[in-house]
Amino acid sequence: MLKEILIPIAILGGIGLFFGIALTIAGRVFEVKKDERVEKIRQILPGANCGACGYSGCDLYAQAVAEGKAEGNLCIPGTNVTAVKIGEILGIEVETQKTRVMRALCCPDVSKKFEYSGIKTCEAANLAYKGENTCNYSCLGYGDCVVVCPHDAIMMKNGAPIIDPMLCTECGLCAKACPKNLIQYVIGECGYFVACVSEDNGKTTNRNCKNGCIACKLCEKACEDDAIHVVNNVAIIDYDKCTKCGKCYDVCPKKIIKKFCSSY
Amino acid sequence: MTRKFKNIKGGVTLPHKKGTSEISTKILPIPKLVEIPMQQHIGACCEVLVNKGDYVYVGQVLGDTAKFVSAPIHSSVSGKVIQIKDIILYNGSKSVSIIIEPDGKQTVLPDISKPDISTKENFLKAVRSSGLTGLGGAGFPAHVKLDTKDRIPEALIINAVECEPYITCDYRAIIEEGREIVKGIELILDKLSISKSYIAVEDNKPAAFTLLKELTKDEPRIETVMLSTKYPQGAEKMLIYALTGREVPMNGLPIDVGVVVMNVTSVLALFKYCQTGMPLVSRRVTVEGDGVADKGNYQVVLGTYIKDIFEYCKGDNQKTLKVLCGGPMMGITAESYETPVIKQNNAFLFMTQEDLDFIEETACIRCGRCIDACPMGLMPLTLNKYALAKMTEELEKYHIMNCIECGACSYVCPAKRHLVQSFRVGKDLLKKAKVKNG
Amino acid sequence: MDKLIVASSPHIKDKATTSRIMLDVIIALMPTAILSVYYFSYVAALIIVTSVSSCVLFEYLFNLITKKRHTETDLSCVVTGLILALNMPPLKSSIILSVIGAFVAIVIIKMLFGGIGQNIFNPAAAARLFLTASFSSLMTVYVAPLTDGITAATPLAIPEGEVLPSYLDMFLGKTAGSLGETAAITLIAGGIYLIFRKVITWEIPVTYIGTVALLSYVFGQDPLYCVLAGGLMIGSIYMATDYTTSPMTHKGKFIFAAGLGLMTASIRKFGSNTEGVAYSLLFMNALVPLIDRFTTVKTFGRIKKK
Repeated sequence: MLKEILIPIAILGGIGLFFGIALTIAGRVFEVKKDERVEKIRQILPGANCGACGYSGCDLYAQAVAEGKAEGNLCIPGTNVTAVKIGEILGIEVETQKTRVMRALCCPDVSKKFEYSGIKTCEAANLAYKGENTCNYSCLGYGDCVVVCPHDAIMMKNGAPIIDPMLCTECGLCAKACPKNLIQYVIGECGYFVACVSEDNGKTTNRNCKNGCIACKLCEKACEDDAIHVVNNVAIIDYDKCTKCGKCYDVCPKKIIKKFCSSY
Repeated sequence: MTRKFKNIKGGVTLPHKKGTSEISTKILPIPKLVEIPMQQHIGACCEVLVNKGDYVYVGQVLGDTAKFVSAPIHSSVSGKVIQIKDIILYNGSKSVSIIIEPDGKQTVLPDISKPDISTKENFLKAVRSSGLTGLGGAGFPAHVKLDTKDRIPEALIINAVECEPYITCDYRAIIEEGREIVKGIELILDKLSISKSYIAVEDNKPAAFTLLKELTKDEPRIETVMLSTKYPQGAEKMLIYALTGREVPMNGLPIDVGVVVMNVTSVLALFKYCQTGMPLVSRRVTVEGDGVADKGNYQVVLGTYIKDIFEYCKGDNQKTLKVLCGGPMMGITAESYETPVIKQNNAFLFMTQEDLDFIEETACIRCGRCIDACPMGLMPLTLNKYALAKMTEELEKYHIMNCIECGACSYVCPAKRHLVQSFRVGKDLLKKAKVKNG
Repeated sequence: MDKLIVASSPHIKDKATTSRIMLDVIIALMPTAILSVYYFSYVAALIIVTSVSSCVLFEYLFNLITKKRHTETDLSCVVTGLILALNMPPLKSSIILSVIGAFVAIVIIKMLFGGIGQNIFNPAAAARLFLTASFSSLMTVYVAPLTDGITAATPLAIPEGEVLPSYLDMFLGKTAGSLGETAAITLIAGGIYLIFRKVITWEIPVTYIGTVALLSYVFGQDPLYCVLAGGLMIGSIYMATDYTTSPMTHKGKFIFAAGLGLMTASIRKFGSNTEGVAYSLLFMNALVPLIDRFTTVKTFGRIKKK
């Protein structure tokens, strides 16, 4: 009776021991030599696998940085803290990024040219005569940006996306998803941005949308720092020169220049 | 060249709805305004060659470009150019169009004369000058198609299949101008030294088949062939396969399998140009759909607004919900009635509530009917999944660029999925990804 | 003037819809369901009603709780409920068990995997096996038809030496078994209706049954008996042909059905349990993505690499 219990235990235990030893030996003999810096860099990365750095995962980015193929400041959710730490691990100087915020440059008050029927995504709707809104540059409102955001930071409100700066990590996936390229980086902690990208002339823009920039150039004349210019019928702010004085904001007749702040 | 006729792989049987086939073509009066876009063909956009305020004649060149794959665009009326405006085409690309106010006199350009077609080179130059593009709906410039350089085609296939429901303009062209069509075929065979031609007619058009057979009985080079009706047999690659059993290679052209295909209306237009020197300025279109009272075929000048056709045919604004340029399977919806007729439009359908299907799409049940329907041997349900997931590598692996957007898959899908639209989005994504990656 | 509608081609569509296809399957199964009530009296009717209504209820609740679009109207839950009911033994205990089975089939096997079109395993077959594994004593006892609850063995489980039922009895369903698997006559009639309505194609049922017949002959068993016995008829016509869990292409369907036949015949010859059809179905369901990968259709104009 005892024999019947002991023999199976011995056999199974022996098999287990054999495989345990074999795996340990194999683990030592066939070990892949890894650069230990890759592991260190990977530890300090946020691990969101968002793809903002251009690599499809934090593992791949850590590898690329250790091999010297990628810059150390590409991790956007990690912010400058990560960039500095990567610099310390590799023993090199890493350039830090300026603070920036993502905003949708559109504030539409448009009507429809036709009834769109089909796949309800911005990408698909844009292929039909550039979308159903009277303004061909305006936001289509189907929320491709909302769906792609890995941090749920975007909400559609009044026909345009609103990005919550508390949740946004500036990974840029929303900007890549927008077929109209409406979502862009705005540099600085606080300041002003032009919520319009319409390159139609003033008369056409005015007819298509009640809010759009009509290229009247009042902002360009009011600015004392040469920071805002009307190019291709739309005002564009040069953030290298902008002193955030707000004169353009005051004079704009359409009130299309809006305030932004990295905390709201 | 094999004499067996194959059934195309896949495809669907559609209701014919050829109610206008026995109504003879009427001529639409010259409208009050015409708009002529500079992009009426596959290839490079034409550049505007006239200015605002110029007086233009019928047949005068309005736009042309030096790029190879293109065709000149001519004025279809005589009158004053009143505006040159920017427009957005149906796929979102930008172009320019010329708006002319006709003076009603239809004065022809004085130096229009019968073209010199003595040699093959001169013939091809003449084809280009006529502004001819594929009038069956494709819009490919004819002179590029016919210029096969060193390769002599084994056969010229004349596409009189007209597989889409409702459309009867090619059929009326055969019934009313069959003799000219046959003469046109003989002309092309002579000039390009092609030894044989096949005219393909589907079996839902027996009168056209009988007439063509009668007209070609003394011409041994032309054989009229009757094929069984299946959509999309009228698509170039499908027709070549049905007649010859040869598959045009992916990214290849029909000349790669030794044939050249021309639409029967294109042949007619080419023959008329070679007789008179008048370039392509008007064409026959089918007007159908329950939104209009006077259905039928109409000869319209290019640039006529759909609005004018609609009013002339006693259209009902309240009932009409969709305006299709083309057939119901591959036609493009017009965004407004202010859309002009261009060279490749062969029909205008004014659809009402009864004609349309408003069921929303539901989840794919993997029934596989789309795979059976696809004539190009693709797997629509897989492509749809990858297109919606934006996975461009897989889209390329499953050959999405081979899709001819015939719509057979969307037609049979029981879940009513927007398959063809997702392929268009997928192709756009793939093109952008290729550009980004170099 | 109202705005025009802009949509992508094509602008006309065929009349077939998902719910119409499911309705055809329900119509095809009706004769079998009615015959089962005739053989096994009101218990059968209660099992069918409970199973179908539980499936519909669970799908409705799942969609409600997860705030997804309601999909009960495509009738696929009704079909699952019906097939699950026809797989249950005609006992009073099956009424409660069918509710549990409905939960497993709809919520776990179908909805949690992504809903219709996304599930890997056949919901009814998987639920059937779950119940057999969990409540084996309640699921392996059967009654003889047209009697008042006298237990009897199914044709595949009759012990050596006892009298086997005649072919006619098995064809008409006068044997013990689950509600739907006995009557070959109504199952085949329903199958012919579905092939005529183009809901299923002949490849899977014919190949599956043919392979089983051939292999049982090779293994020394009676081919006709093996074909008529057990869940082969209902499994091959109604469960293996389920769109979502079978291959997309015709070539793939042949391979799938041949694999099913091989496994079922092997389980019946070399194994001792009688659930050969359900086990082989789940096994081959797992292989369907692999089969799909290797049986893609030939693209038009593909140049073969030299």
